[in-house]
Amino acid sequence: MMNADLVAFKQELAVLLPGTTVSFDAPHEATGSWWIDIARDPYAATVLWRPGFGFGLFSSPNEGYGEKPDERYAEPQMAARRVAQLALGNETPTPLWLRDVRALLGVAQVTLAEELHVNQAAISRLEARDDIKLSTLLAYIEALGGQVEMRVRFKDFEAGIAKPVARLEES
Amino acid sequence: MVLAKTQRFQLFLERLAVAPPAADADGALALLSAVLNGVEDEHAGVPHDPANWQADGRMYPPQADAARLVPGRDGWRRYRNRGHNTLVGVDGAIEIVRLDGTCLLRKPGAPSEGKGS
Repeated sequence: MMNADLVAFKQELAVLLPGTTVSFDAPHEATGSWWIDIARDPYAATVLWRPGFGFGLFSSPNEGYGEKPDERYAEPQMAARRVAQLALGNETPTPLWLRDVRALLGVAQVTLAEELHVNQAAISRLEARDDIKLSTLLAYIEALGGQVEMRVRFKDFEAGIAKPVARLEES
Repeated sequence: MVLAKTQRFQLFLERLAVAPPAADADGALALLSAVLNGVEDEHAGVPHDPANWQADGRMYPPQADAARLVPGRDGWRRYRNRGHNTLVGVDGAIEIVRLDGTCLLRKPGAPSEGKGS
């Protein structure tokens, strides 16, 4: 039987993406994983839900077997908003970029601009770029209330890496 | 040598196809897990970390709590992941099927001894 989170996800998706087909593949055990198949021509996606985990979304190409999700959302409404972003964007799954993060959090450009002591146009220009300084990325995400984690991973070791000071430098 | 995921997936299917068959469903799942983890250990370039929820570039075998029953096939179990259904039979058979229905692997279980002789 579907729980409240799954029902809320389906309802939110129906509002954001009318005409979308949503199918639920239920586990045999109550503690197991649900798989949610979403189809809205030409977009199709699969979402994972587990008790205590929330919704796992995949934003990388589907080319293997048994990969884990790229993104995780505790709340069904935000998970549905992210699915809508992916469905209304490219057919190819793409990771989050700045504008996507801000939109998921429901923050307007003007609000973020005030937080960063710049004008709205500066935020708009920044979000249109596909390459920004790390310090700018940190400032942007921290102004939204988030954190950026930086790690390096090699075959024989992985570790956190030093972050620059968060500073919005780009105009 | 690190291989691309598509190459590793193909290698996994090839190795699983020729591996000695399992005799029951638990054995089939264990066989599949061992073959996939072996390929990933050799060629993924990423350490095995099943506790981490996030994609790390590595492929992982089905977990026991992801099992579903298979209507009309008593004793079979189905494991779902992003792009595939993996079915294991009570006799150790394994099937890996893409969500569009394309069968990528159909491996019989170990022959049972004594029956019919």
